[in-house]
Amino acid sequence: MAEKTQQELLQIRYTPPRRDWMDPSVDFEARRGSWSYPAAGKNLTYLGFPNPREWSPADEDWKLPDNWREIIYEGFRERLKKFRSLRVFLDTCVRCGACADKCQFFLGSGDPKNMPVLRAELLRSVYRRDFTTAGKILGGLAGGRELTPEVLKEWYYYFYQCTECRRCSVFCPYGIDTAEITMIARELMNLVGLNINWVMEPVANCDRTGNHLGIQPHTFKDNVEFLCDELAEITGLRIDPPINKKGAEILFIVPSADYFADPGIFTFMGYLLLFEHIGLDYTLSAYASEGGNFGLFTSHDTIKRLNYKMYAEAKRLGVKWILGGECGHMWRVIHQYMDTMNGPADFLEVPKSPVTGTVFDHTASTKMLHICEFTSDLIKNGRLKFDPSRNDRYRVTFHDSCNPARGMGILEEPRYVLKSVCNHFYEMPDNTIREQTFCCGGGAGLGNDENMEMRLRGGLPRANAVQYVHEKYGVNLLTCICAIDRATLPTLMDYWVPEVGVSGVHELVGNALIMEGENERPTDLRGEPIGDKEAASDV
Amino acid sequence: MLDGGLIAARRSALLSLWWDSAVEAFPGETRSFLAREKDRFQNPVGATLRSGLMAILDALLTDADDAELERAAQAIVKVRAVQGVPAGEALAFVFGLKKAARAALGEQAETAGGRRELEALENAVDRLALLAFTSYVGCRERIFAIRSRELQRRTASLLRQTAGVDLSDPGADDLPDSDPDCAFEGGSTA
Repeated sequence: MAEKTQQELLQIRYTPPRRDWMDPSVDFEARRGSWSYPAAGKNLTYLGFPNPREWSPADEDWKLPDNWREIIYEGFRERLKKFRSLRVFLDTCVRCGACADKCQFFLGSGDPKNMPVLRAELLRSVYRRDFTTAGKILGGLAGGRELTPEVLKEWYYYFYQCTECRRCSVFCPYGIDTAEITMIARELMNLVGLNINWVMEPVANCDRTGNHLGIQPHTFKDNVEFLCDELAEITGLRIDPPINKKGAEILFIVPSADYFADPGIFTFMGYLLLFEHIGLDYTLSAYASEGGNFGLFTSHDTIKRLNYKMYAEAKRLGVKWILGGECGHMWRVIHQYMDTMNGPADFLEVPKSPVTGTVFDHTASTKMLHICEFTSDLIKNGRLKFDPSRNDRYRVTFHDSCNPARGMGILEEPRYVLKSVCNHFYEMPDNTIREQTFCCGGGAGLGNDENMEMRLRGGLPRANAVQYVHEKYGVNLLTCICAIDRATLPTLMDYWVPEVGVSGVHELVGNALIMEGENERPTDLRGEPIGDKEAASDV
Repeated sequence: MLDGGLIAARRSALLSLWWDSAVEAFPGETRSFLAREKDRFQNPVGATLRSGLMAILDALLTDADDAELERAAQAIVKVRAVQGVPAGEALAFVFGLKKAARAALGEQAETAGGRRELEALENAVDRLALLAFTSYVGCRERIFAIRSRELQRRTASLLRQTAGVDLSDPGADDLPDSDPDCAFEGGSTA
């Protein structure tokens, strides 16, 4: 190669070369930090998923089955027949662009293929070429595209960059749900063994032990007891929550991070104090020990398979209804899939608060109630005694977690609870909360550390709004009702707004509850002095 | 020496040219969005660029000290440091200012006063480049520290429970500095 002159070397063009979006090319080696590691073979073997192997997206050869194209076409055909919504979503998009600037991954990265319309087009182009008459005749002129190994690699890159948060769907005038397109694309990739480990390991663990972390019943019990020890130290009260208690009135199910990792454990302590406060007849289960359902990020069959344990355990224990904790996608599964997949739960009763007598008719089909609805009803009926000043070190804002907000409309209840248990609450700007909330950037299995830079990009719009209320009101605590948020938002804050900490809503409930027979509390549930008004970021 | 001079008189034209140069780093579809959407919450990268370029230019024109100049550049650097581009590309916007200033001055660039100001500005841009690079490295080091902190957070409770080890979570202040005082979207929000 001829040597370049100094003048030539100084002429750098920073503009990316113009390329048609239909010519796929992802350099995985150069884009480390923006993709997730593939599923370990052992997890696929355990689950009976196809093509278990060791491989890396950075490899040239992805070790696909020889007939991978036929497998995907057949899977596509089958799903088009099975899900009418898929065909509607693929046919009706007119590329109006309403969704284009709504995805936080586009907003943070500037990569046009993170625009929902283009992300969906990755799948839609293949559909057009091989499943529509116009595409079969006109090919590329009709927006069709051949399914090549490069296209498949692009699917892997971009469909595992979508958190299925459904923000884009809020703005689509046709109601196209791009998350559903991502779900189908992931299903198709699963058929040839293209999955990520941060999804498949939790799925395999959940299938085996009932929770993402693979925690077995005796360890579950140990964890709960350990948290009770910590609670006893803080409050002077010995709480002994029932586990696998047959005949209890209510089965309470939480995301496993709530009894395993910081800061979720403080939310779990809040639940326990609440139930003790009202003398609830409930039980935890060491088998239905996970609210989360990573099947949602895998396939419809896997959603059903993992979700089934909730009803099975409720039946085995003979409870009347199910109460669910602060989890995110668990609620999308419950609200939109559970009843169809594993219902009707006609052996359960419509949830009725044993304390206030309120009947929660809106849960008549699933028989499962969100804890924020349960708690806000208790507050509304004056059944809880609070000292909100115990949370005075916090200036609080609330992040609407995507799935409870957009997936089931839990918007008012957490705010009502927060305003009851703390004295300083401030909203982020209107176009960043409620239905329009920005994703944490780590949902749908993307909350792993190898993908962290993508998370920091995708989380920028959320962090930007937090920064605003931090500067304007001195907000130092970001609350949420999702375990994935509680795991990923602290990292997001560490980079973008390090003065702000993260907690669940029921952690603040637990702090504020005045318990009968408790010691005077010198510290909150984190062990921080209650009178300490310093910033909460070091939590 | 730049305050109230020829370049300062062309501030608005210069900013416009510098913006064009800075957004060249993005694909075409993205460039038009960055310029079009004015809501800072719907377009955080565009808002950061807009207010960041302005803050840097004003700092340069008023002969700000290193600390102030670094703070002005920090907002953009913080965003660019996580956008998956090589360091040189992430900081290319800094050098775009030289060309933009020359173009903004037009024929005045060849006058004695213009040449003097351009030389002063170009020297200041070189100083800015070094400061921006320091910030960039700070951001990258912070990412590595955050990654290990995240792992620690996942296992802290387990270690407390099973081994009695209290891995007290380091406060954010203990992480490498990427200038936490800086509002990354730039500008005042009060």
